[in-house]
Formats: sequence, structure tokens, C-alpha cells
Amino acid sequence: MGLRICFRFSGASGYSLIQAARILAEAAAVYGDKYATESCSYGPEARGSASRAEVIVSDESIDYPKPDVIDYFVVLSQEAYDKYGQDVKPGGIIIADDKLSFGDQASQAKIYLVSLTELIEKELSQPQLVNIVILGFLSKLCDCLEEKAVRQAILARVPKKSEAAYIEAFDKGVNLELRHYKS
Amino acid sequence: MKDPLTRLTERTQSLGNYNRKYLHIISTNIGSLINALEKNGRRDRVHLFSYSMEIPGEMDSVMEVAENPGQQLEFLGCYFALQFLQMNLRMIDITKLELSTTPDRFNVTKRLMLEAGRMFRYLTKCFMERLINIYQEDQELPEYVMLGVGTRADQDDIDLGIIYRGEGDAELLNRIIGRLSMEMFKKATRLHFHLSEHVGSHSLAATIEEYEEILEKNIYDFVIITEMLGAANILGSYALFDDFKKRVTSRFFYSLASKENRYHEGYLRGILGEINSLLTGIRPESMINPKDEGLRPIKSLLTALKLVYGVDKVNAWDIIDGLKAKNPERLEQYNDLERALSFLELFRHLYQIMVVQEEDINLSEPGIEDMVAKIAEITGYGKKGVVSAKDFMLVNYYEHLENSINSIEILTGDLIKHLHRISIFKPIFSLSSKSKIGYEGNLALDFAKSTRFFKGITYWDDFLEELKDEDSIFYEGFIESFSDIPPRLADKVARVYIAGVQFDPSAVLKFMVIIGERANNEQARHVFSLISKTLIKELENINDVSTSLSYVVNAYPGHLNKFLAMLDNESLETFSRVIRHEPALPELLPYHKQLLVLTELHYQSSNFFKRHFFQTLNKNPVFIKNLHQNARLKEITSGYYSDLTTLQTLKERFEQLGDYYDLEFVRISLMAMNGAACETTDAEFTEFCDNYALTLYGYCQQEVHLSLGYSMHTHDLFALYATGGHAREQGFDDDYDMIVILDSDDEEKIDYCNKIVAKMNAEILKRGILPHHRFADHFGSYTIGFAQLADYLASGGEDIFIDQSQLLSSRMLVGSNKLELKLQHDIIQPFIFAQGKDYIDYMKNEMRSRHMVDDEDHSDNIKECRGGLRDIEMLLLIYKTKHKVRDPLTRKFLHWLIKTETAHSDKFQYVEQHLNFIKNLRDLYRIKIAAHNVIDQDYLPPVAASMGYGNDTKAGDRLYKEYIARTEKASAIINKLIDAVHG
Repeated sequence: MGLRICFRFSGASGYSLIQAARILAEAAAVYGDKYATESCSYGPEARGSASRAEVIVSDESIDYPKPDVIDYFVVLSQEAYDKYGQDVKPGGIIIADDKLSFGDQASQAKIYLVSLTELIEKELSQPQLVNIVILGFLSKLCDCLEEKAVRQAILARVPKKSEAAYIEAFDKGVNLELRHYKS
Repeated sequence: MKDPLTRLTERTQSLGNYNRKYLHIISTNIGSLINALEKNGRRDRVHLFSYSMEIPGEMDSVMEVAENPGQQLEFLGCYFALQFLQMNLRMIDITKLELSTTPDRFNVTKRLMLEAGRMFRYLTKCFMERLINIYQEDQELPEYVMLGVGTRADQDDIDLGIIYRGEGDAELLNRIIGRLSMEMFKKATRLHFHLSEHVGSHSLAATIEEYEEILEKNIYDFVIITEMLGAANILGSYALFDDFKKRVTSRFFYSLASKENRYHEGYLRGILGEINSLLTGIRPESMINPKDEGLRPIKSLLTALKLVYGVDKVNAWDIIDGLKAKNPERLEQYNDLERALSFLELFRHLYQIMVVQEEDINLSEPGIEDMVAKIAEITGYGKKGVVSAKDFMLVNYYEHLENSINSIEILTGDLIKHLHRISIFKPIFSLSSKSKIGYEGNLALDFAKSTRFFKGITYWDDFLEELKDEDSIFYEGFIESFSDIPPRLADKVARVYIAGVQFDPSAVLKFMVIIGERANNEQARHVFSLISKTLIKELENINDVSTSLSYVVNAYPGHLNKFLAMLDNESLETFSRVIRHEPALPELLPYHKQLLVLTELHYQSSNFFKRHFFQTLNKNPVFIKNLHQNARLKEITSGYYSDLTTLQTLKERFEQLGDYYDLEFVRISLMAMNGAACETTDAEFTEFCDNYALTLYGYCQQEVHLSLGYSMHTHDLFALYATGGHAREQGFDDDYDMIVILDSDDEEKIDYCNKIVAKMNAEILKRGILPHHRFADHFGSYTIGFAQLADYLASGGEDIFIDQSQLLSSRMLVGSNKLELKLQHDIIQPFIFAQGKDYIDYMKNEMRSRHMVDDEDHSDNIKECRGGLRDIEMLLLIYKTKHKVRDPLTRKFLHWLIKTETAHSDKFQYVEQHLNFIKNLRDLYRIKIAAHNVIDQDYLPPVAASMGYGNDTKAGDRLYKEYIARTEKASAIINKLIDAVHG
């Protein structure tokens, strides 16, 4: 069996994690040489609940676009972690807001902590760029993603004149040093 | 000359950056596609660089020239990308041409959007049909139908529902749809299978039986149902779609012939809750979102209405046409909705194809305003005077939103009436008639059971109306029946009543407020307590409850305030703990701050404060939204005060003047809680109290005039003095000492003035403040004359020094300079200053005898203890008498003493510092703990926090220690200062 990597993004809607998932999938499938699917899910309520998006990147055709286990989990809210965290496979990677608290499965995954508050207050011109910083970090971390393809995918999904801000945020992510969570 | 691809690339600069994906696909494949077409003599049969009117045939040609299925996919994708970009470029050109020339903007806008939807659906349908053929090869698919369940013109994603008959190779169907999805994502537009993901197991397609099964259990997810109800056939079996409509979606339409319409009712409840939520959304000021602000509420309402009136259409404009025909009395509202729908759809569509495929439009983001200006230009807006085309269009945007919201409110009202008529709860609600006949079961339990089917639904306003109706016995029936439920079951039933709180707490809070407000007996109070404790416990289990409650504080501040006011301290403590976590959305942070401040005020404030706070905030919910912004509160209260003159009746004026008092009281209390110096709060408190008293006097005079039918001139003869704390410009007193002087023996005038003062007393009492008239007890009249006063003071008496002190510390509020001079000349000079030695001796003796009482009884009494407020007041009165100064006992006088009593300047300076310290402590204790003079060390921590002693458990002890040390030192200094004055 070839490469099959599953990503899950979840958190409050303000950080555009669904956009991040789509950029990642387009980077792999449109600008890279992989197969990719992206699916998102949200509750019936107009507000307040965690949104979720999933991406599968594979070097083979993907017949069913739903992941069984998660390799990479980007999670920015406690509700999202509590709801979806258990699907991360042992040895998988979690990138999480440093304010979250983790349960038992935390010991089986490698957790990187990102300080959203610090990013938003000190580093970024707009809070929604958080997702792009995280994409930068993921690109560095994950072999199946090509940095160049991710950049192309980002540029294709942002308004003109905002391109520089997005690429700057992406570069911040690539150079980001995140601390590990220790239980 | 530029080649066609370069020209196309240049033209696409007017589109958003998403065009890069399509240009990437085109540039990768266009060379081999052209070669293959030319090789097969088909080049002139395929439009590559112009918009085609023969898409299916050209797609087939493109497929035929490919050498293998892999190349077929690449060529098809390339052709799709070419046509997709040209379709969008054409849309911009046509919009520009038609909207700049037509006088009929509305119909053209509608036609343009219908055309945009039709073109995109047609192009994607042709593409998907061929992709399926490629993947299918020679295999036979089971009978299926692919349904479009979203907006046709949406290019960001295509919402699909796929139904299959349940026979044949379902695995093959799923595999093909999976591949279709992957290829569409790569070459065209993402497919979204929200409907199928929630129905059926591990599959992208579901059978009719699976839909039926899930709907039998409960109403489930109304987003899915909305999608089902909006489904239109794209590909596949029409017969299957017809069966789906008959067996699945038809149940949601209202049927007069049916005994019950619970699916219909459940959907209406869901959608009404959703509309409420959408209309109370919060967005940053620079952000607009045509979908959430307008399109979603409009479309949700239209779907609900089509079920009521039996309009079997799926396109929003077609639904409106059907509704106009079936419900012509609401023609005006439908017209408004139609105009808003057309405007918002076109604006959103152009934004998505010209700027970015996102729903939130952040006008402060670089370049976005310019792009919005470009859209305004394309849609035919021009500069008008000083108003730019962009601003003109944005004004139109908000006008359409406002008109649609007004229409939504009217039409929602109709839906609610309809709901009431057809509800399965009608037998339960029938108890609302005054007759008790009609319901024999346990109302509370039966209602809870019936709601199981409506799990997750948040619209229960009709039930709440019944509970609220004071002419009905429904509330009593509910309380009695709830109380009859065995205790072990009562918790479970309570949980049913708070279900849905995680989605939208406002409905549950409304319910709690009604239960609590009408709870006038022990049984009802017990029911409230049980359900509220269950609710608080549930809130602890909800993640990010701060987010949903921040929405509530914005939309329903009054309900939240009332609910918090009903909670006991333990529940308030839990509530304040669960809301501490900040919501993730930055635009919610100001509302979260309001939530924190409001909760803190309920949790950590005295009844003395709450008395004003509660009635103020219930009447003026706008105040809640500004609790964290004192400057804004000041603007509001000033507005209330200025607005008094515009009110027509005295009744209204009295009421608003009272509101002004309460609002100012709350505002200045908040200042104190936030650490403002007591010099500042005292000054502001005195200013509004004086405004209040002066204005109140005027209104009471008018009231007496009206009631008697005549007026009486009292100018220059009437004076109203504040004395006690108010005269000393001391804030947060709970009594109001007054002296009223009338320089006349005319009985009629005395009676007239007494009536005014009596009316003032009644109004002051409404504020929870006790008016005191020291001389009224003695003279049997509020008003006293100079002669009476002189006789009384001349008579002497054991406690005469108290009356002298009151007069000496008085401050004129109403009256003339002439009367003030007369008071000084006839009373103060002869009966106080001239007898200064006696007065000072009296005062010294009084202090000594007070201090001789066991110190332990008094040390915690901030007013009466050694070095307390009373000592400072008496010290100043003694020095006032010594210097024969008439000025009030304010800080101004203390400053004067610091300058004048040069030998004791440092001592008076300490007295001033000490006064500020204990005054601050006293004010905060009154606001946060209780309006008592005796402080309890155990309750000091919140006071200590406001005074800057920190939030730790020892902060109260540190404050207390400092209080004891300071008062001891102050006492010694005051004694020295008093000893320095010889009587």
C-alpha cells in the first residue's frame, strides 16, 4: 500500500481552518503530484460549534474520502479536541492551541503547542492568518507536502493585494519553533 | 499579436486569484489538447478560447480525440477550465452592459442571477456526466439520482445528495462517486456531500429506506432537511427522485387532512430557531456577509413558508412566485424579500468570482474596498454628489437587509400563528383556557415526552408564551405537575427542559426567567431552583459556553440579567467560573467582557447596589452592553437627563428622572469597583444627586400645582437644604437628610410646600433611599420657619448640638442667596458661632463618651470607631465653628484647613489621606458586600481586590490590618487636633 496521510483541522470558525484544509488539499492535488480529497462538516446550529475539515493525501486514487485514523490533527478549541482527538493514531501528530488541556490519548501522540494569543497579538495583522501560519509549520513537518505547491495553493485562495501578508504568515509558520507538550 | 492563452490569462486578471488553479490546468494540457484536436480534424468544432453554446457536443469531441481514459480526464478538465473562466468573464461583461443601461435594475438582477445559476449547473452537469461515464466503463451502476441541494450559482462548492435504489452494486457507485469527487476537486469545484454524510453508514449514497429510518426516530438535523427540501435533479433516475419526494420530503409539507403534522412542525421549530440565531449574529464592524446576514435567513424562511402553503418549488425566486400567488396579502413582504434576494445574490456572486471565494467580506482588508468599488461600478452604481459608487451600493446593501429583516419578522409572525394552530402540543396548550377541564395527564412530564421528537430544536416561543400568560392557568398547571414528578425522575425531566442549551442558550434562559419571575410560592421556587441547578451543571459540561453566552448578552441582555438576578450565590459562583474562558472569535471579545462584568456584578455586589442595578438594567438593557465602558455610560445617562424636557407628561418625567438616578448610581458604582478614587466618585455622585433633587423639586411643584388647580409663588421664601452625607458631598448614602425652610407663616403656603416635600419624599423612597427631615418630628411639618427654628435652638436641650451640627453642615440645593444669608444671620451666627465654646465642648464630650464605650464593639464600625468617619466629621465641625466658616464640610474645607492651620498642616494632610482610605473602603463595602457601617473581615476579599490589594485569599486580611493601623493613627491625630481647639 502506498502513501496515505490523513489530516484533520478543527476549531472555532474564526480561524478559517476549513480554508486551510482546502489549501492543503489543492496544494497536493492541483499543484503537486498527489491525489487528495477534502471534506468538511459543521453542525446544524448557526453558530457556536466546532467546525471540522479533513484531507486525505495519497499517491493512489482515493475511493472513499473519509479518514479512519488521523495522522495530523490541527486543533484550536477544547470542544474540538474533546470531540475529535481520540481519532489520532498512536504516534500521530497534534498541533494545538497551548491553552488546551489533553487527556489520556495525549501520551500516544506527539503534541506541538502553538500560542494563538501570542500569534494574534504580536505576530499577525489579521487573526484569520493563523491558519496560514499553521500550514507553514505543517509544510515543514510533513514530507508529503511541497512548500512550493502550498505557496501556489495559498495564492490561489486569497484576495489580490493580500498575497504578501499571506506569504509572510506562511513563512512565519515555516520558521516557527513550537514547544512540545509534556504530560 | 498575443496568443489566445496569453490573452485569456490577461483577461482573467479581472477575476479573483482562484483563476490560477484553472489557468494552471489549462497551461498544463492545452498544447496536447490542441494537437489532438488538430490531428483528428476537430479543432474548428471546439470553442477553446470563446464561450461555447454547445458544451455537451464539444466535451464529447474532446473525449474522442484522447488516446486513453487518463488523457480523457486531462482534456476534459482542460476544456472545463476554459469554459469556466469564460463563463465568469462573460457574466461580468453582461452584468456591466445590462445594469448600466437598464431602468429596471431589479428584474435584470434577478434574470442575471438565474442565468448565472443555469450556466454553472449546465457546465458542471455535463462535466460530471462524462466523468462518471469514464469511471463506469462497461460496468452497470445501480439506479441512482444525483441531487443538487445548494444554491445553483455557488462556485465554491457544489452541495450534492445521492440516493440509490438499494439494489445492485452499491460499492461500485460509491467508488465512482469517490473518484468523481476527487477529480471535481482537482479540476473543477469541490463536491460537498453533507446530506449523504449524515444518512446511511460509511457511504456517499443512501437509500430512501435509510432516510425514512432516520426520520422515524426524530426530526434530526434541519440543515439536512432544508437540503432535502431544496433538492433538484442533476443526473440519474427521475423515477427515484419522485419516489424520494413522495416517501421522504412530502411529510414536511403541511397537510390539512392529516391528523398530525409533527414533521412539518418539527422543521418549522428548527428553522425558526435558526432564523433567530442568524438575525442575532455578531460580526466585526468592518465585516459584511451577504450569506449569513441576508440570504440564509431569507431562504430558510422561504423553505418554511413553501411547506405551509404547499409550493412545490426549489428555486428561491420560483418559491416567491408561488407564495405571491397563494398568499397575496403578504405581497409587499414577498416583494421586499425578492429584491433583497436578487441584490444580495448578485453582489455575493460577483464578489466570489472577482475577489475571493469566501463568505466574509472584510472591508478593512487590503484591496477589498477597491474590489467592492469595482463591483459597484460593474453593477451600474455611479458617484452621486459626494457619495461614491461603492458607498451608494453599500447603503443599498443595508437597505435591502433592513427591508428583508422587517419582512422576515412579519412573515415569521404568520408562521408562529400557524404553528400554534397545528401544534401537536395543542391539547397541552388547551389548558391555557381558564377552565381546568381539558387536560388530565401530567402536563410537565407529557410535554417533556412530546419534545423528544424535536431533539436539538431551540424554538419554543409558543410554549413560553403560554407559560407567561397571566390570564392562563398553564403556569400553575406546569408547576403543580412538575412538583408531582418523583424526585428521581425530576432531574431527568429538568434536563429535557434545558436541552438545546449548547446550541442556543437564549430559549432556555427565557424559559428560566418566566419560571422564576412568576414563582410566588414555595412550590414554584423549588421548581425554579431544581431546573436552574440542572442548567448550571449542564453549562459546566459545555465547551466554549462563553461563545454562546456572548451571543446572548448581545441579543437578550435583559433576559440574562434577570436570570442572573434569580440565581443563588453558589450558582452564580459556578456561572462566573464557566464563562471565564475567552471565546475564540475576536469579534465576540467585547461581548464576553460585558458578560464577565454583568456576572461579576451579580455575583459580587451588595443588595444595596442590586436594588438600583436590577431595576435599571431590566428597563435599560442597552446599559448592559456598555457596562465596561464608563464614558459611554456617561453619555447615555446625560442623554436620559437631557431628554427629560422632551417628555410630554409629568408621569413620564418622574419615571425617567428615577431611571436617571438609578443609572448614575450604577455607573458611579462601577467606577468605584474599577478602582476610581473616592474624590472622583464623590464629586460625580454629588453632581447627579443635586441634578436629581433640583429637577425633582421642579416636577413635584408642577404636580402639586396640577393637583390643586392653582400655583403659589414661593420664590425667595422657600429653601431646600441637603444635610448629612449629601451635604458633605459623600456618595453612596442610603438616606437623604434634608432641611426645608419656608420664610412665611402663611398656613396655605406652608401646606402647599409640605405637599411638594411629601411628593419629593415619595419619589426619593422609590429609589430605595430614606428621606430624613430632622426637624419634622419636632415641628410636625416638613417646612419650618426661621422664628420656629430660633425658638427651638434657644430652648436648649440635651441633644441640641446634633441639630446645630445638621444646620452647620447644610448645603443649599434650592433657594435664594437672600434666604441663605438670612439663615446665616438669624440662625447660624447667633445659635452656633456665637455659642461656639459651648458647641465645641458639647462636641468634645460627645466624642469622649462615644469612645469610652468598649473599643471592641466599635473597632469594625467604620463610621463610629475611633478615627472613623464620625470623628472626622466632628473634627471638621469643631474647626468650622472655631473659624466661623459657613462653607459645607467638603474636601474643599479640609484643603482650606491644611493651608490655614499651618501648625497642623501635616496632621490635616493625614486626616485627608485617611478620609479617602476609609471612604473608599466604606463605598466598596456598601457596593460589594452590604450597606453596613460594621465591616466583616471575612467578606473583605472582593473589596480588597478593587482597592488594589490583589486577588489572593490573604488580600482581605492585608486590607483589614491596614484599616486598623490607619484608624488608630488617625484617632490619635484627631484627638490632638481637637485638644488644640479650646472651647
